[in-house]
Amino acid sequence: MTRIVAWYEFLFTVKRPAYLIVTFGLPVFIGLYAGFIMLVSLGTASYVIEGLSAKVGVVDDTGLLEYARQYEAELKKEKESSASGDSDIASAARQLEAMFEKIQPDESRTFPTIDAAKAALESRQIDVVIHVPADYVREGVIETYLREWKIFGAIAAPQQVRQRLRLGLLQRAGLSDAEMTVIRGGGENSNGFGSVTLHELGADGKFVEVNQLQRIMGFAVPAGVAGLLILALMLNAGFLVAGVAEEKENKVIEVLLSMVRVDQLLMGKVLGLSGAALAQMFVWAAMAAPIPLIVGAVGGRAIGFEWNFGVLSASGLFFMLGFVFYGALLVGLGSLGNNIKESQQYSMYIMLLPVVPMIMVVALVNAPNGLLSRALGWIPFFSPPAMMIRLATGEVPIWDVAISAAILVASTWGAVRFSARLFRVGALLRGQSMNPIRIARLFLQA
Amino acid sequence: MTRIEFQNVFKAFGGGGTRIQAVDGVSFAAAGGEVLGVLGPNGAGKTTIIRMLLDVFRPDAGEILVEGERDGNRRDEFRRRVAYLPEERGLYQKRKIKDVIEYTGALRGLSRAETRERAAPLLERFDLAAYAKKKVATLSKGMSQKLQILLSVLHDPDLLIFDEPFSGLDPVNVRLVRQLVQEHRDRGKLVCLCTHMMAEVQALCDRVMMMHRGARVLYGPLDEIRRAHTDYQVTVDIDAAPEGLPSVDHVACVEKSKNVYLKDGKTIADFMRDMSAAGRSVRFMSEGLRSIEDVFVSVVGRQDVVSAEAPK
Repeated sequence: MTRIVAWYEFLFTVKRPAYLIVTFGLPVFIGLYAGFIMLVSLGTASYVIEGLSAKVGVVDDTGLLEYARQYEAELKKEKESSASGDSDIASAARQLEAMFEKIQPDESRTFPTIDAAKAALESRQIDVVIHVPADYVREGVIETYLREWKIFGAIAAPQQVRQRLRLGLLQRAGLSDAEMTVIRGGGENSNGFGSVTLHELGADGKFVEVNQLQRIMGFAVPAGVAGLLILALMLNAGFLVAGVAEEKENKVIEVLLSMVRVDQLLMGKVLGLSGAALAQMFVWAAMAAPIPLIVGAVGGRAIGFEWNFGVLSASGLFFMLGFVFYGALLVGLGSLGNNIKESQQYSMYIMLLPVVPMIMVVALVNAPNGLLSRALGWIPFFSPPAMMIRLATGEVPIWDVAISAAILVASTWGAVRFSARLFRVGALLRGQSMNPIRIARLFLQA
Repeated sequence: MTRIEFQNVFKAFGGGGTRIQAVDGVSFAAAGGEVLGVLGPNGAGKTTIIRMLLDVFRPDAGEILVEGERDGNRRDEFRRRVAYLPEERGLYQKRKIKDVIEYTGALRGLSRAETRERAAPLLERFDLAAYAKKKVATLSKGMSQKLQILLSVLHDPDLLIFDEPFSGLDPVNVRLVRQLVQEHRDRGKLVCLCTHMMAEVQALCDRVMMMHRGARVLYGPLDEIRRAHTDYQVTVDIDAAPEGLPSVDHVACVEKSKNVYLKDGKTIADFMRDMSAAGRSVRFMSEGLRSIEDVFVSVVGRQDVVSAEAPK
């Protein structure tokens, strides 16, 4: 009977417009939102880039910019010859570097005198004139001429010229390439993320190099999955409470109770909604699947991340147990409301519980086997999300996971019994407001 | 053959000053092939009796037997054999009628094919076939009522519990439900009928149990109860009003006849003697069985008077 209730609850839930909107609409919304942010960023960036790439006229009385051009030409030739031998991390780092200010192509036009540059500015051949006076090295001042000042407009041009002047100074000083690289910042052949290489003490007592990106992804992906699981839990728990409240308002509940035992009805509802939540997860996962491919395509090569199926399976277990545990309590308390609004108010007390570990995520991640983490992992009200976060670190011993799971299983059984008893009277109760004493009394009478 | 039995069952709700004794030592039995009328004013405890029978509530004390088995109502098998139509109708308003039928069939242990097979003639009979693919919310109150009745008998139950099945129905559909009840009774099913429509009780019930303030105040075959409360009622056709005679309590006019209600302890012989002494003649007289409505009003009214007079 539980199976039948679960199956139909699942079917009715996945056909709900609200469920479909959340399942398919949320990723689309997030995608659109992210896209909007990116577009705004790109729009802003393009405005800045417009400033950067505005037609710049330069009058260099110091001659330093010519040195900079020489250095850039040599560097470009060198990079072209060595690019094929780079690691993917170094390649990614260089791409990042190239995106920002360090190697901006110089498209400025050089004028011999300031008057010639000003004439070109007035006749709209160029948009900005940067004058580097002969005493620049001593005074550190460059002059900028515009037809019209605009906020955000052409701000980057003087900065770009200033960087080239620095480069020219270095080139003029006759430093070696290696010295130039160090002063400019960023190792061209660095094998770590960015320019830092990390090592840690391995099990055999020797230091081994840490692939930071892989480590970060190793945590972020399971933790992200845990976050999605909690999101699914909270969203579908809302459907669960709304469903019970609706049946109570519609007065269907009394007929249902004549057909199905209260514990069967309760479990069927919770399991059906768990299935709907899992289906939602699969949909989200399927919709998110192209993202690593896109990232891989943009990055040129895969990052080297591997799924930890043990961690994911355990997370899945805690998700299911957590859903049944919270779901049972939600149905029990939700059944006491006289309408959907009241039921949702009662259910808020339960919905706040899984949020607690999220607030303490830093402690859970930094010390997954610390006292607080272990306490949160063993207290059933907090354990499902707490364990999912702890599991993502990959440092929780198996016995710890087993104890937490065992406590949660026992608590889930207790929650189902407790809620079934409350549901038995709560579902048929009307017109009464609730408080803890009244709830306790109802529980004893059922 | 279904047989249910309540043995000295008690159930209370609330605590302290708000404690309500909903059912107070009620006993009764009923078996397949009869219609049991569960009667009583609002708040008498009828719904609590039904809910205990359906194992929604558990009694505080006493036994509920099904087929002679203690707590037999807790078995899944029992649930599959029961039909329940509550007084407060409830349907999934946003779902299609065929979906609701399918879900109910599944909960009753029917396969999809069986559900379709059984639902088709019932949909025709209740004039609902054209609405099968529509949402429940599109139905009128009366149609919703019929859908609920259809859902309750979909699985050919052995025990039908109908709480006010006639409310909201037009006379044609009242007749339809009456036929349905009679058919099930004739096929050996047990029907428990809770209703305030005394005409229907009188027409359908074989046995009644009347409750008041949680307690059973009357119980037995309908005719016996009516007879037991009829010894002081006669229907007469007379030329002069009988009011004022020593044996007469009051008189009610029914068309051309008069129902004469005798005082407690007075018999028809006393009435005839009084008529003769007063020099009045009787053209026609019959001993009328009291309607169950009269019995209901009389018993409940008397209980209320006794209660009001009791020392507090």
